Amino acid sequence: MAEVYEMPELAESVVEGEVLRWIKKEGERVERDEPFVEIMTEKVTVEVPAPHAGTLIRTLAKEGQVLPVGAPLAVFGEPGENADAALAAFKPAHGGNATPAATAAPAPAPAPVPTGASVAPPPVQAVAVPPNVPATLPADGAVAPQPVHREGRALAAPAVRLYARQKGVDLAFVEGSGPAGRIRRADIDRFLSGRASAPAPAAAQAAPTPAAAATIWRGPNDRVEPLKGLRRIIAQRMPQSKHVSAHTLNVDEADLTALVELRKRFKPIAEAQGVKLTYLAFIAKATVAALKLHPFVNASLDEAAHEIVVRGDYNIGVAVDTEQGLMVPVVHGAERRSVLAIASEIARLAEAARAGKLTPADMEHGTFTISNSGSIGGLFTAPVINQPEVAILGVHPIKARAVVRDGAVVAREMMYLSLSYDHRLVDGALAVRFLSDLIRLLENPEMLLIEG
Amino acid sequence: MAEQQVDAVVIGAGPGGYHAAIRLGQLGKKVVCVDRDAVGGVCLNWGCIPTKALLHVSEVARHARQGAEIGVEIPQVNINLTGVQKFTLDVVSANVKGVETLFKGNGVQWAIGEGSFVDKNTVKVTKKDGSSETYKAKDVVIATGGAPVDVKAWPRDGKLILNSDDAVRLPNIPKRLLVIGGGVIGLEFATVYNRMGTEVTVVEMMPNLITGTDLEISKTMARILKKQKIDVLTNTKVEKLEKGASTVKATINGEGTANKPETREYDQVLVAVGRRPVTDNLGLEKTGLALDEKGFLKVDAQRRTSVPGIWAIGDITGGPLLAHKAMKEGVVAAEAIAGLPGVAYDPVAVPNCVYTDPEIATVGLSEEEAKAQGYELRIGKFPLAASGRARSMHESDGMIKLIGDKKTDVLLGMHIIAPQAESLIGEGVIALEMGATLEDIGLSIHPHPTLTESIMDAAEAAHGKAIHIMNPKPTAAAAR
Repeated sequence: MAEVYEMPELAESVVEGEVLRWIKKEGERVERDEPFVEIMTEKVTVEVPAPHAGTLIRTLAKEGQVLPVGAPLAVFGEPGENADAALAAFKPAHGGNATPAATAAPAPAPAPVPTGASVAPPPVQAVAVPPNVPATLPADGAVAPQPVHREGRALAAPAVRLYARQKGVDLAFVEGSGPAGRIRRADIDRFLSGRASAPAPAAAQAAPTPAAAATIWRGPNDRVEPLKGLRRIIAQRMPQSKHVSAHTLNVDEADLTALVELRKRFKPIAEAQGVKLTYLAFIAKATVAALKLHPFVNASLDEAAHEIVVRGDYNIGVAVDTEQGLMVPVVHGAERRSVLAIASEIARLAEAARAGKLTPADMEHGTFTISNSGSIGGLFTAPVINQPEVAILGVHPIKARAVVRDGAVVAREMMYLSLSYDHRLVDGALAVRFLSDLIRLLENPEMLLIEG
Repeated sequence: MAEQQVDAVVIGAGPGGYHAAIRLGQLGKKVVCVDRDAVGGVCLNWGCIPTKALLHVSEVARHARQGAEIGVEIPQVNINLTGVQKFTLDVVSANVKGVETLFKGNGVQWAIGEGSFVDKNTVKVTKKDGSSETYKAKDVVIATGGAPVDVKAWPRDGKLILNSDDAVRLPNIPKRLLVIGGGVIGLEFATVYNRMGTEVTVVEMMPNLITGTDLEISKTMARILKKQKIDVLTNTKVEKLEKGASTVKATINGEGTANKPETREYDQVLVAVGRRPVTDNLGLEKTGLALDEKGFLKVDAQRRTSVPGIWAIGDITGGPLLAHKAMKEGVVAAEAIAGLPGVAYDPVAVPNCVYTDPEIATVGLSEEEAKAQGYELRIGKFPLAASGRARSMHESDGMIKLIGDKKTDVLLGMHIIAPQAESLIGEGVIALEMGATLEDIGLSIHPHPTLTESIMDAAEAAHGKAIHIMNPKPTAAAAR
């Protein structure tokens, strides 16, 4: 008989997945373990294998559509079987939207996990996580309520029911905020953004999307593209970060003349070892040293738990510009790596990011991020904090500029440094001290031998 | 034999078919609509529309006859059959022309002939003169509708034994008419003929008229019909029909005859025992589609059959055999074919109207159904006798009954016996679809003086606060 296949939990604590591409179309036959749909989550992109041989009799989401883990994704069966009957009889194994504890494999098929060792490990490719706000925030707080599954009729107006179908949302899982439990359009939007039935305070926590929801005019010369994939995630995360953190900016300049000299000297040595020695590697090393002096800059704020998490590791995220958009892979344990090792790891991560080959492990557990626009240009930036971190360093072009040294105007290799910090945890004085220490280390790179 | 490639073929130009065809045309599809008969199907040609014309004529006749009761004396009321037939046909042809114009305006091609499958993507249209043309299409919508059920023992002859297709053309006005079947169609014709002056007997096998309707509504209607001198015999069977030269002798037995066989003589008999889906000569076997045991095609929410590219709408898909259901299905199927996202046939409830005098209209759950589904009920009723508007229309027979869920106050069903109940029920449909509560209905200002304000009164009555009737004394627990 026809079976409903649920959105699998493709990685730990992933609560939703985006249908990137239907590899198989409705009515097409699939063999067991043959990939039938490509799903992107905030951690991995996976070609999901079919649970068993059969016909894909119904797809329940459009490409670009996001479904919560456990929501019906497709119906498998034999040609002619009624998908509706299967859907009517469908009882979610998960109870819909994932809770942190929900790790059980969804029926009827074992959930393919990215590292799946047994049959047909699904290919893991592009992995994208720009500022990963929701991965931790909603999971911790009271904003991830238990999903509901209603028996019988869901109270919703016809236009809302149509909207739900267009979004691939099963109303049985949506809690209505209207009188008598009526489900409104906004309830579906909230459900989709993982804040099912969250009451007013949570609504305030939502990204300021209403402005975007207003109709935006389209001219005859305009091109309209679907907002999907990495771009959709970035579009969602950036305002969330701005909303969560009290963004404050501190800008200073560093005289990198000594560092330029140093790099010039070591570059051939590094090249002999096959490593391109970048300024970024030095800056990351110096950043770790400065963070050690100011632990609160290498921390997270868990408001829901009323706790400050001071990080014991120095996992430095590096913003990478790719064709699809911004990605932030992480150099783990930077405090244990030499400048050379950091340079080589950054090179590996950047390459993997551009090739769409990052793994979930490459993306996780950053504690501080560096955003480098040095090779592109500009004076300085005000970067957006990569949640749940509390600060991000902006690194910019090194330019010879006229400065005053000992009463004389001289040309020095100068760079602006900017620090966006979360004033909830990092006060202005701390930010200035941190940046000053960082500059001191960069201006005197030999200090890295002592403090690094 | 001409062959033409199109995007979609719709077989059947009834209400479902013409909706599908027009919507497909609107969505830019090259579509051809096939029907052996005229555009409009049963609804426009043999059902909804001509019967409403007859109902109107007979209602005018009744008003004329009852004029004296309200001070308008009309000495003699004559019915000119030719005039009635002309009016009915004019109404039909105006409607048919309207649909034809819409076909043209939306680029829908129109093919007259018998449509049948050659294979799942090919439909052959055989014309009356034996010539044929063939259409190939990615999508084919089956909208072949239904036809009256014939009873083998009482074959229709169009003279003494009629079905609804005969009666709607009103060949004559019999003195005595036996209507077999107390369902929607039987009662409509009973009403038409009764108002034309015929003595009408309705025999229904089941314990109540219009099986499935709220019991109180059904019983109230039976009472009203009896008051109008229609002989309503429920729990009763017609055991035998004996045709004579110009009359039919019917042996009737059951509750209506005190369980003793009784032979009565009628000038005509109308057999209205139900309708069946039509798939004759459709060539379904060439598509791999199979009917279920009741003769229906199984479809999903978008009206896809089990064969990709073949869709089915209307009577052929089962459920209530109603034009408005078929119409919505036609639109859904057309939009699904065009790839519009999210479309589905998912009504909370389909309204049902019976054109008796006064009319019955219902939507949602009956009291019995709601109880069977485990609801605790909050019921509000309002008799039309308490409505100023009904009184001033000289039409005080009827009632409004609202059924709500006691726990949530959400409306579950609305049941109306009233003049123009079929129009009043629109409020119930919207209320159900929107998930309205009885309180919502009661709080909404309804215009005065109207029949629709009685719906508000009924909703208030459910909460014990109707103004125009005495409310039951609230118990301490119920007071709020």
